[in-house]
Amino acid sequence: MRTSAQMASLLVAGTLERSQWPELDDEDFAAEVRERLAHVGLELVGAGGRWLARPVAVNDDEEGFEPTFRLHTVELAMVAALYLHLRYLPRQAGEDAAGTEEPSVEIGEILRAFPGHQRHYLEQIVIGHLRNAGFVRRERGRLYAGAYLAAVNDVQAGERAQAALGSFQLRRYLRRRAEELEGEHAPD
Amino acid sequence: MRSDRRLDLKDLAEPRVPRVPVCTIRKDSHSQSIPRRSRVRTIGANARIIVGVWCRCESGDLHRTSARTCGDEHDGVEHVGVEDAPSAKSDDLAAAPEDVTAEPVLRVPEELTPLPAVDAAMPLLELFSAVVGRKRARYKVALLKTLQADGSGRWKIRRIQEIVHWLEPASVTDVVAELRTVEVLAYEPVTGLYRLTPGARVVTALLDAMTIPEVHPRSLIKFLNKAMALAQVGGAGDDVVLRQFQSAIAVLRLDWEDLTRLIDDFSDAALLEAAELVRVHVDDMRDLLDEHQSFFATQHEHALFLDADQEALDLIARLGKLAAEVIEALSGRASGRMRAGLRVDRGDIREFLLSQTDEQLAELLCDLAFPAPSIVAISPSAAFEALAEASERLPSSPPPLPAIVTPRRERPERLPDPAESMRGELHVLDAPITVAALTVRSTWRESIARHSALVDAYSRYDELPALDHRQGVEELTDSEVWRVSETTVEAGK
Repeated sequence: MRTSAQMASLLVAGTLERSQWPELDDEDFAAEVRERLAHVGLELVGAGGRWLARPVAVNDDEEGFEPTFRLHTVELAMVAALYLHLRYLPRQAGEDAAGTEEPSVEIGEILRAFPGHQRHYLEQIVIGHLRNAGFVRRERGRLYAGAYLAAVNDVQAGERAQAALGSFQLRRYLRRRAEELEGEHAPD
Repeated sequence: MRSDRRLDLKDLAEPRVPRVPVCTIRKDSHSQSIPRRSRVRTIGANARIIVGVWCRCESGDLHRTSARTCGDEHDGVEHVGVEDAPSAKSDDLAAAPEDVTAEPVLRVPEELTPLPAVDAAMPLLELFSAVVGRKRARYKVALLKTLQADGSGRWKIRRIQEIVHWLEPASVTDVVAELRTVEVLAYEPVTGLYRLTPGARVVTALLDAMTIPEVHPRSLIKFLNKAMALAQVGGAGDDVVLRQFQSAIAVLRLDWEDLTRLIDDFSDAALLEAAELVRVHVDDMRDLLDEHQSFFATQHEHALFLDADQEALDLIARLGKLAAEVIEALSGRASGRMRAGLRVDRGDIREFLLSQTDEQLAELLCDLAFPAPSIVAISPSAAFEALAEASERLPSSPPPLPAIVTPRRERPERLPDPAESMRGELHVLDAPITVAALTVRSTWRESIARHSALVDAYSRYDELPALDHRQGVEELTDSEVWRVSETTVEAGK
């Protein structure tokens, strides 16, 4: 018989495969686990076929506090790129055709989005760190969403991505229109 | 008086290195004669270099060291050559010149500049400085605005004091006296009346119109439009109207640059504001063209006017379209065409990611992406066991290379040349023979090899027997070859 305490202790050290831990589908049991995790500032999230615990919010400004994991700018930028490729884009495609394969992206595709950094740094350090942090899995040269990328709030993230991409598309359209208009009216 | 010679813009378009004379002047003879506004550089104890300035010779003549005159001989001045003037190091004019009082140096003859027209207009233009460029300017402007509003047009001093009721009568008298001195107000001694001179009335009207806190960018083309009308009314000349028109076009040109620059920035508010301003400018430029339509019609043979007119129409068209699309896009009415149907493909994401900085991308999910809360403690015994296992591993080494073998050189086998063999066969023929009989054998392979050798031999050697070509073909029965053209080798003749 597995207890909520046992489950909470496992969740602060890793993730649980949902199919093998059916107890957490029981609302009362899950509430107990949630309560235990909440005492240490964590929340229970089910995403990508796994259960995981993650910080609700981290106050980095506490004096003398040094977080074990902190994603720096390049890592956060990489997470955003992975989100767009592995979650946002498949969701859009899913409206037309139900995807059967797990979404993945070639590692080279992701690396090309960051031309200002060396390949070794991106591949070994940044993606390596994100893999350890549970954001991405790497299999046969392709990247797959890790449990912590799957756990990103899809509504909020999707709205932001849509706004950013919409603005980008509009600007791109206007830039092309300006070039077209300039071309149409260029002196012969 | 305006110069009859039209200013040719090509004269000014050529970048010319300004050349100014350098004259050495003995300090003892000229040091007292150099005007205050001269640019003077000290180069030694006894001499100075004066660059493109006025100086007075011992004869008393004022002498300008221009390119035409610096070679003249005059006492105390020794011409030592011409040097290039130092070029500006930067376009930033905020850097103060060394001597702000120096006389500007012309690069072209004066008659090719706007200066003669300006000189002719100076009496009128100086009325402005007479009103606003001296002491008590605000009182003078206010008094003139008040007088302008009065319908009579001629006033006794007492009447002026009544009209300008907001100023002490004695102060009114002082200001009126000052305006009379600078000929803004004319005084008629017989009647004792003051009146505005025609020039002063125009200046007052303009000052009245210009009594605004600032020229708002929205009104810029409207102002230039009215300035064009004013120039036409005053008979300022076609060149003046053209310059004002070109100034209005320059405003649109800057609008285009601003708009396209702001499209690349990510400030929707600034872009929308710029587009709204552009729309106003475009409408104003349309009005300008409409209002001056009859004037432009008289300039249809003037190339510069035609060019400017064409450019204005071009800018109106493209600025109007782009501004409308920007407004439509940013005011939430963007069409599917603009947003590419709101669909995003991998190519869009690829382009988007490349267009963003790391910071912009990081901002997207910075408060939504949380990593795992902790790492698991590693058991020391497990760690050391792993270390021991790793230490025992032997590094892999590549297999040995094979023994060295020196390759042996062999001459290639010499094969008989089929064309040469065929040549030998042809030489020993003593009677005519058909090509079919000569070349065809039982198999296609052998037949075609012999036929190719025959063709090759005839292409290489000249002394072979003549060939007699005929129209028909021979059909063969005992070979894989079906037909051969009827050609005979005329051997033995």
